[in-house]
Amino acid sequence: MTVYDDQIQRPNIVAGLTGGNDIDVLAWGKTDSILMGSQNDLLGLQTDYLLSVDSSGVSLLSSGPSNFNAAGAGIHSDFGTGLVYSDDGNVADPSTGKVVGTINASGIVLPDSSLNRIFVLGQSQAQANTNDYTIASFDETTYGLVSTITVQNLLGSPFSMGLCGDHCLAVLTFNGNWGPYYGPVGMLYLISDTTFLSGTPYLRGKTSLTKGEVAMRWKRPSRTEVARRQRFRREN
Amino acid sequence: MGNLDKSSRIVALTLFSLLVLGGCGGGNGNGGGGTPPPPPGPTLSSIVPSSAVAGASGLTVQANGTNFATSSTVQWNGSSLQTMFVSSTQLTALIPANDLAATGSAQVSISNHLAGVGNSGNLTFTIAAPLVESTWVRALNYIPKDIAWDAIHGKLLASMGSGDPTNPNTLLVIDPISGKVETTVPAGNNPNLLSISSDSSYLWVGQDGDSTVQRYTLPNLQKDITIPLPLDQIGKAQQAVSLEAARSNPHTVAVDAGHWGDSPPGWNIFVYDDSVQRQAAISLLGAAPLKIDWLQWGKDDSTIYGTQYTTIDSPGGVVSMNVSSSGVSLLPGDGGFPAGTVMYSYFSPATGLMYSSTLVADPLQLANVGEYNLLGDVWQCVPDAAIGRYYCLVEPQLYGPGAELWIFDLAKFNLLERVDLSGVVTGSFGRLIRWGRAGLALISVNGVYTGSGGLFLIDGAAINPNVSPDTPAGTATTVYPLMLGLEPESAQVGSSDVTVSVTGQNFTPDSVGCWSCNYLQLRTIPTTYVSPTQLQVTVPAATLQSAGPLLISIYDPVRNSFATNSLTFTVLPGSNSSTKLAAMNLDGLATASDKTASVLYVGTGGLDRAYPSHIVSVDPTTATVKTSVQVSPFPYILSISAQDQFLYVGFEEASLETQLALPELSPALTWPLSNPAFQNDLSFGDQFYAGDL
Repeated sequence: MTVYDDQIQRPNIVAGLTGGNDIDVLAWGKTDSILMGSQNDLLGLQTDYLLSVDSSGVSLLSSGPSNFNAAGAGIHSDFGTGLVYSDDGNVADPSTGKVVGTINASGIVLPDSSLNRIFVLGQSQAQANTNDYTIASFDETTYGLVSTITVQNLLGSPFSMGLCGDHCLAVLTFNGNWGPYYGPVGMLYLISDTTFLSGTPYLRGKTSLTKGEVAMRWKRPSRTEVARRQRFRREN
Repeated sequence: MGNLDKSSRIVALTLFSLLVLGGCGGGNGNGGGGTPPPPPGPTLSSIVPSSAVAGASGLTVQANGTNFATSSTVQWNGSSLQTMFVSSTQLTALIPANDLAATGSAQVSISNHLAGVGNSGNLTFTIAAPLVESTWVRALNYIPKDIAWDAIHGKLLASMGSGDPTNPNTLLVIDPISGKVETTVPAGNNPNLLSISSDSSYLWVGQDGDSTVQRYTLPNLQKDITIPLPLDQIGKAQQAVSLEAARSNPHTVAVDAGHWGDSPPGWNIFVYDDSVQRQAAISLLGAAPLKIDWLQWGKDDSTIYGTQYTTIDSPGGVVSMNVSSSGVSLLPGDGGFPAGTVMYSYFSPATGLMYSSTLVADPLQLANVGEYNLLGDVWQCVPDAAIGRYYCLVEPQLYGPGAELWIFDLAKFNLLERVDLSGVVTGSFGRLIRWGRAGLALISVNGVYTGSGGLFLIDGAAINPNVSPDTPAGTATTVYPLMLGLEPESAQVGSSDVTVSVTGQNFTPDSVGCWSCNYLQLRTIPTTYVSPTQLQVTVPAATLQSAGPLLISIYDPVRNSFATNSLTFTVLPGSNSSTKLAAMNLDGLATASDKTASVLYVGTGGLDRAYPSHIVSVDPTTATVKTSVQVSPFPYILSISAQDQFLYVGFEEASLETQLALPELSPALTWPLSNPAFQNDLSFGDQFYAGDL
């Protein structure tokens, strides 16, 4: 774990596996001095790491079993709130490591304080083993459900969701069967919706969600797996 | 009443807009004698088709855009074509055969001059050369132990071991044009490795049965000096297990001496000037865990790189050796960065990089800088920096017959061509070398599953498209088509037939579009061959009745083969929902949103055919690519800085981090990732990849 200013490496680093640390994903806190790390291995105990950053580099403040992040999940910064959001649906304060909120969905999480929303791409029970998905939006202040929409018949498995403008979500998929007959390696889907992707209260779709109703019900490849699986399959 | 109020407001707003527009034009806006504002100028968004084969007869093209008028004309390099108005967004025009006679390109635009406005922007129409069978392969009935190319004298040199049934213990001079052996000379006992001096004055030969390195003069293969290899540390005779003539001095050669039967085989490294050994040598027994089986000179005669490949449970890695007048010595500080697992790796003095099958490494930075996405089972590769290509022989089936030549862009790592050599190239692959203007030579040995070994000469445009082949002789090969893009790449559910332009390469008049196809189920669709780089297919309305992906592939019924890849045509859901979906054939690994420039950056994988390992800037409102820049392989982590000033990129296959200035995506900085705690550590590799940013 190291910090660069342009190409200049700050001297203090936090050792990885040889130092007993397994930090796979990172998220900044409210300021440039707060970092949170987490393990996202599919196996093993999950550990959260609180890190401090100053002009000499990065240092480990504390680490411990995660009550925040699930195996294989990612974490995401929101500089507007200074909080960190896990794909498991939890919200933590990276300065203390404490969970400060939970939303009733998990999957691929995307916080956006400019809209005061947390978006979650997941699947309902009925969508399991299909190519259909639900995107739920939550109020980033109250963590209450705002709206849901569905997107159907995507090619491949979603592994990334990001913003692509004021009213647009970008979803990347990985098509494990790519080749001469089964389509390209992956697709970029752009989902635009001026009401769903806005800060205006606008209830559509489901009016409430119970915990687990929308969740990661497909095998989400990590970005490393996506890159590596492209290299070990023959094209023809 | 509420609806009426709302309508009234809309009308009022529209009228207000008209008044404002009229004011801007300088008149009173009411048609009371002022000059009306000119109509908006035409825009040209696409030409369908956008290419043709040179020599084609006249061709009707469709121009798509906006603001077309009945008087609009399609311009061809500034001259009007015979044009028919279809609608304000579509014209058709006839390109006469005269304009398609020769290869080249033309600028196409729309003129609305009669309507009082100017031209649209230009789009390029390509006139391509017809695709002809242009790469050939020949099998020669020899199984050399090694081959080398004497570029000065234009001959291939081959060593025939003691076990060869027809030419044992000889060197052969082969004319690659005729495929004939011109000279056969005796070469001691069991000649094996070959290396030619920098000026083609000498051929160095490892004569294993004699435990010598024998030098011959070129071009006549006269026997010259003999270097008896010293006994090893326990008194056994040694053979040259790696032999490399110096980069510059024709009198200097480096030898890794050891025993072929050992694993690893290298025991001692020597440098000789003619037959005189420089005093300092490297004993690999005393340098554990280093094991060096393979030598390559660096950019000049002061450095040798070495690596081991035979022992999978040792640290491996590339080591650097310093060469001076007193001899050769190990340079401290490396040995940990990974090399490949095959015998014939290369250092290219032109690029300064090392090539080891799939991986590319910078020996100065001790960093992997790229990877060729080579997906076969067994391969031999060779780079050619002058042509900018990287050639690999691949066995497409593990323990089975068949051979393919995969050709990559040397610097960009993307696949350029895939050539089928099945039925001609057999055996298990050995050395692969470049020869001539556009030739490759491969040796293979007999294999239980792969068939008889031999010497194979491959020649033609797939090796070097910029020159004529050395000789168009042998069996013509099949070059697989590659699909690059669809235009359009989606349509609304329930649409009528959609004409789609398929761009790519190596299309033939036999190519036919196919949806959701495989060898058992061929659902071909109407296809028009436009050029080797373009087909036009019709996606029938019957396939557009439900939303979802429609997989489009290209099939060749004559050769019974498919293109290397397939793409998705997306049938979009109905437009009555407020949620709009757009789909793009992009093999994205990561995204980052630039709100300032209103674009989305996508890092693409090495298998994206149109944008392999690029950062692509996408306009999310139109789902089109605005610009792109090639970066190191597999940019799989993106992070955008505050104020959208920089994009930081981490790579899955390069131990680098890149900072790109936005929105131009101009390369600002790239630096190697390192961990000071592991510098010079031979137990761990000192390769670090960005895990998150």
